[in-house]
Amino acid sequence: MTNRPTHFLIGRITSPHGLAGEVRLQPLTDWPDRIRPGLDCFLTDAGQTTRQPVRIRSVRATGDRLLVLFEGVAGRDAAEALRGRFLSIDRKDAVSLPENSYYISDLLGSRVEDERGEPVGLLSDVLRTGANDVYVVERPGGLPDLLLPAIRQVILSIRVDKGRIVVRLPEDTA
Amino acid sequence: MSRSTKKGYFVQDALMKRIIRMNENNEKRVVKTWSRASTIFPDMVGHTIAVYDGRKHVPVYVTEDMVGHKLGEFAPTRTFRGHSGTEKATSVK
Repeated sequence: MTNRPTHFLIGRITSPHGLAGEVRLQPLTDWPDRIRPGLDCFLTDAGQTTRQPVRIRSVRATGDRLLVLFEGVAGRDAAEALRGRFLSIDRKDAVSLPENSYYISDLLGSRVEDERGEPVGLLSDVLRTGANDVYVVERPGGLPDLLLPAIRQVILSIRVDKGRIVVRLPEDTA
Repeated sequence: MSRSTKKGYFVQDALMKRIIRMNENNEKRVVKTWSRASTIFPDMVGHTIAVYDGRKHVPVYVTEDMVGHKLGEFAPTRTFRGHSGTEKATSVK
């Protein structure tokens, strides 16, 4: 079974902005609109070893980045200290997903099996192509990675709680 | 008349022949192609085409709203792995 994360990263602070303590934030979520004033979140590092609770005071959009001001952060020097840090939220505050949608973080490391229960490999990555997503399956024994389109004809079932994905291998990849 | 209208949409002959043959035989197999410049035709809808991205063949399931676009648009040649543990979702279509 895969380890489901207790917190999700929603943004990365790239640099300070201006003199008032604002920071430039690169959204790392599919729902950047959720980053708004009043949101309780955590400042963390990439490994999420430490978490410091923080509340957002204001948000402005600029291109593909957001300008965010946190409560208790005043002045450029305080904002500079946040450079490179990440913003995370508790899993219970995450967006609830519709049917047949899954958090990528929950799926990574899942066992991939074919219809007969034979192991195929482990899910190592999810590529987003603009059409269907593509699941990258790392196969044992030095075999090249297997790329499976995330469509119903190929991905038969996903059990996040058991860390198991059942697939029907397309003919050309068998 | 624009040049593209006069010449018609480009699609690699070999690819189109395979698609037409599969449609005639009612087959659904993954078709490998290196032709990223080929236009997606309505005949391709419902097929999975593995488009070369310079390193590997990325399987792309063709849907109606992709008609008229080029195959290469759906197989990015540069992939940024990103950070793990982000609030990003995947769905099975």
